[in-house]
Amino acid sequence: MATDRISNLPDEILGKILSLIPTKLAASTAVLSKRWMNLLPLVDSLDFDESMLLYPDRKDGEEEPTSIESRRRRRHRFSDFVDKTLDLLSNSTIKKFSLICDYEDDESRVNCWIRTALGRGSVELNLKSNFSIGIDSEFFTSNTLVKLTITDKFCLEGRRLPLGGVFFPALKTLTLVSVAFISPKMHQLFIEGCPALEDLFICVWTGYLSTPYVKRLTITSDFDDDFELRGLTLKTKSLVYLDYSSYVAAHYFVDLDSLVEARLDLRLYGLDDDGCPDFNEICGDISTLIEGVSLLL
Amino acid sequence: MSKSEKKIVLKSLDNEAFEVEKAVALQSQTIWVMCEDKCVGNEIPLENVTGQILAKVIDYCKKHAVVDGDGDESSEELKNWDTEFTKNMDQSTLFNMILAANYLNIKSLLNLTCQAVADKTKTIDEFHTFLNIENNFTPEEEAQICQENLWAFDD
Repeated sequence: MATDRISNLPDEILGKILSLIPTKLAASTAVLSKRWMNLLPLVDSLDFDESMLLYPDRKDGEEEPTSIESRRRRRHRFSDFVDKTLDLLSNSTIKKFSLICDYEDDESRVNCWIRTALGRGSVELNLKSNFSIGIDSEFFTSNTLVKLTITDKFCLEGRRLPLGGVFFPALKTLTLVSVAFISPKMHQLFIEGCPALEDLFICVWTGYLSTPYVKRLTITSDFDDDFELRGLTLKTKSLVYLDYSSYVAAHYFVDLDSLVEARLDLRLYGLDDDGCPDFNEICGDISTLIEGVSLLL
Repeated sequence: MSKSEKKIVLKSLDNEAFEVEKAVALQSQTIWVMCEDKCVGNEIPLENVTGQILAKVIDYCKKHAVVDGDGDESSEELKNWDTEFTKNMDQSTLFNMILAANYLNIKSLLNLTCQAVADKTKTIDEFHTFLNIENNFTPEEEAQICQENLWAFDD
């Protein structure tokens, strides 16, 4: 006969386990038994996924809510849930904070959560949104953050960027997937604000990168509609590893003097008279990139 | 214990003795402190761990002592090995491993085993079934706790 042995584990271990599951599930364990009633404040890693809150038991084929009113209600419930959890954890350190927003939300409220997570010493921050949410760059700074991932519709508002300031002095790994910067200069300032950066992953970007620090760089394109019509610049003199998969750009300017390993996955394409992709025609000029990489040979 | 000795004997709660390389055993902070602090001789008694569990802990430590510090490919291999290691562990073994990892203070093993529990509990029902958590609320208490925790649920 199996027994309830997990409840005998020390508080700190139960807190550790609850930190490894989605926060929604961790919060609902309070109803399991008396032992589990007040464990949520021990959680140091928060994982808020709005889609999980909206359709926890959705069966296939069931329709998603379409009316504006029901969307608004669900959105508020998610926001209330995040607020209440952060309140409960008001004395705790937050090591890891992950936020996946499905619906358009009150931008200032979302910014308040990000600010709280950074202020509580987060080392890892993961932001993903299906609707455009501007991150207020004025407080987007942390001395503890080591890993940052921003995906899809989160964008960085440049209005209040402290020019020349360092934002993430401890950041080692940065992933930017389809992140919109208000200008190429903002993108550049952001990278410059991460002097300890070692690993950079980018998908869909401006085509210009200049940093003396980054050691490993991965650039990917979703080969569907992301044509590299522009020129591409990589001033990355410390780069030892380059993984580049994309359509061939119009031209390249590269500084890859330290490169030790490169993986290239290049696709050729052309445009027909209507500006549509024509795979019988060939655009772009790869020669400079090959020259840059040929230092390896 | 002299520093030059390479081997060390770990003795379980049920008196099973395991001779292991010192480098393997010292992944446990607890054993490391025991070796530093006391002159316990060559044999370390571990009063909280049974032979069956200790054997598994030693398997883990051996694997990690060998591969640590190698290149990328081996860290990938190590990850796969870790997944296999906990994949088919039953509930009771898994908890004993957590307690052993906690007592022996082997951080990576504690992380791995806690992650294995988290991976097996994706819903509140799985908490009940996999973990056999006994609901000790009275019906009144349960109604109240559900009411207080409405914010954590959807409706």
